[in-house]
Amino acid sequence: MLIENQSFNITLLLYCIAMVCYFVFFMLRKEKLADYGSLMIKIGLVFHTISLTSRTVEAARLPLSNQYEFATSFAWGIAICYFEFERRYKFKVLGTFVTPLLLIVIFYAAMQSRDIRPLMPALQSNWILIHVSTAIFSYGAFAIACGISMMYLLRDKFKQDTFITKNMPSLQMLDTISYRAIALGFVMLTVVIVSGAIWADKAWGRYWQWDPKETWSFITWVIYAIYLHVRISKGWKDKKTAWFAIIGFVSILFTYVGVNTILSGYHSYAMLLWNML
Amino acid sequence: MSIIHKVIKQVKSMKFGIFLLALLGGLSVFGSIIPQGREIPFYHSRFSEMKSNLILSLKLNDIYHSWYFIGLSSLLSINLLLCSILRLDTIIRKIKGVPSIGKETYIENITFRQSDNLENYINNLFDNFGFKKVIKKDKNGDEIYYSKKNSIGYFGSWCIHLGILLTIISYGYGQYTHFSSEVYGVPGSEVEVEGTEFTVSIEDFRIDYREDGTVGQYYTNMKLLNDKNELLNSKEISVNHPLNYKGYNFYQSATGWATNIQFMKDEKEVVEDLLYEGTFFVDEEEGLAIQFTKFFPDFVATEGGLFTRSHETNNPMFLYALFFNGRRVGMNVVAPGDVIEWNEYDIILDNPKMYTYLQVNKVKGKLGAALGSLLVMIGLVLAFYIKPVTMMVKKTGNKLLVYGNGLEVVQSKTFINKQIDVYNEYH
Repeated sequence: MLIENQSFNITLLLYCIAMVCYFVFFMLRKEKLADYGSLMIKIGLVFHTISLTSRTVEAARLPLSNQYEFATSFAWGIAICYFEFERRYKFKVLGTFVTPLLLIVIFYAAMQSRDIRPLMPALQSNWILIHVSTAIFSYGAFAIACGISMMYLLRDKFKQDTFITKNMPSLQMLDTISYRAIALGFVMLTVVIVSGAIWADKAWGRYWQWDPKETWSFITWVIYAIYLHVRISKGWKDKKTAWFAIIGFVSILFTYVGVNTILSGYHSYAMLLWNML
Repeated sequence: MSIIHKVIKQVKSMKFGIFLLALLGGLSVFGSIIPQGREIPFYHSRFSEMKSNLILSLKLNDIYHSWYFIGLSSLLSINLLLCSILRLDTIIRKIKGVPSIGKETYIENITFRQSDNLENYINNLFDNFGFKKVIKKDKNGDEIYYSKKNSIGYFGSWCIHLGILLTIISYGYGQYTHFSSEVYGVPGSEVEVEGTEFTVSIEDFRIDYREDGTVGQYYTNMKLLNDKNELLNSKEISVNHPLNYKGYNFYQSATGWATNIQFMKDEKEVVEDLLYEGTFFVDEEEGLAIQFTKFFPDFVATEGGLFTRSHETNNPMFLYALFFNGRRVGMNVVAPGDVIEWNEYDIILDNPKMYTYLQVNKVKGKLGAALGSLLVMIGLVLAFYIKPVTMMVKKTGNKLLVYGNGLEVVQSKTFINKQIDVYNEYH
């Protein structure tokens, strides 16, 4: 527990430093800082992995079953996806847009209880492994797509800025990378939904009950399905698709955090929302 | 074009499909905000009159079973059928047909001096890009060589749409034919499953607790009997491990406490029964009712309320409420076996035991939905990761015009330039 907590805290610190480095790099245009930011992310990822591994050993199961565990794993998924996309496409500025998303998720994890609790009977299923682990990578890929789409909008707005044109790929390239991230996330999200349905059938006898979590997974799936259709058939490869990618990620965050905190309390906040309409 | 043709054209367009998908997604947002499937008074008490009337008249309280949601899903199914699934022949033609020069990306042209070993050269050109089977055709006096790879990728979108259609139809069929019931009882009891010929014999029920007092698992040892009391199946079921019999599934769903109740008047036993937590025993003749409100295995009363310290029956207590002619006349806690006295009535709650609650479901169309989901996943992999690649070489005069679709142009140019050098050296 001590190793896990210390590793988690170091991870949090390193990711924060990475975000500051990337931010200063972007604002003051000091390119060296982007290298430091990238290094901090990589070291942070190592400590993050140590934290998750030690929790796995201590709990004698994968850390995928409560808000803290999923949030820290989700952040790990974003970091892994970032690491891979940065390695593959080699543009430093991506970190400026992805690290804030990473920080949001890991700070959410930090606010949750870190107590290790045994699994409740409904969660004692092998389907949790497929369901939640694919969700981590799906959400991670969508976070990257969201970061790249923010870059797209900025690149489009500051076409004449030499720093931006030098450090950011072309709009076409950004759109292609965002598309690839969304394609990966979409395949994974489909696996998440299907494995969740199979698991629900095993546990409760109904594979689809339109509960808020299922419904919002469906809504998110629809958003990205529309993105893919309009991009392929209508040739939308511009700001509109970039906005789609951002809205899709907002929907992801709502599916994860909002459904648990707002819609689960049907009698309170959801009613407030309805009364505001 | 007649109106019917215009409508059909509209219905099978992708634009219409996207519109329907967006509409279904939008309606689902309302479905997630407004509580679904509650009793009508719930909406009247929860919302203002205008809003509750709006919710009930638009069926927003059961949106997923509303005529418009079902109608939109049906339209989406028709759209999927017409828009892509019936286009299978187009895909097959695309796979089998000769590539069209206009649609392929021009890459390079190679000028050759003599045609000795030209076919070998062309085959080698294809081979170096991983194309094994090269087809030669004569088209308008030109020789065309072409080859295709990963053509299965063309089926990606088709598989996805077929899968979604199959899933929607199977889900709709499952909803339409759905059977749901429940049985509950204490160990040793036999309970008929309403609406079926089955009887469930509850042989045993136990809960595994961990050292920290949390529940590890719930187990019900059950036998399934038919109306002739013949054994059909038996199993120890637990959460995530139901019993399946001919499409009927028996799920470990919940649990609670039950107690024996002795109801006496003037010290003579009137009735003895089993009472479940939260339920009433009502003597209609006498106008007396008792509610078994809650059971505390390890009772403790604090200023904050009544609690149980653990699941162990160290200090068992029943919380009960007494009603006479519909009016509550008493409420208290009582230990098992102690007598609750009220006028000439004596009531004893005794022998607390846990009961098991099983959900019984039969959902048809699961296989179709599973197959549909599988098709969607296969389709996604095909669509995103198996990219069809075409390469074509057109021999016209003393030139080879190279075209490709899906080939990395930069790589191919480098490769072809290299090939040209080799070819020129060779000759």
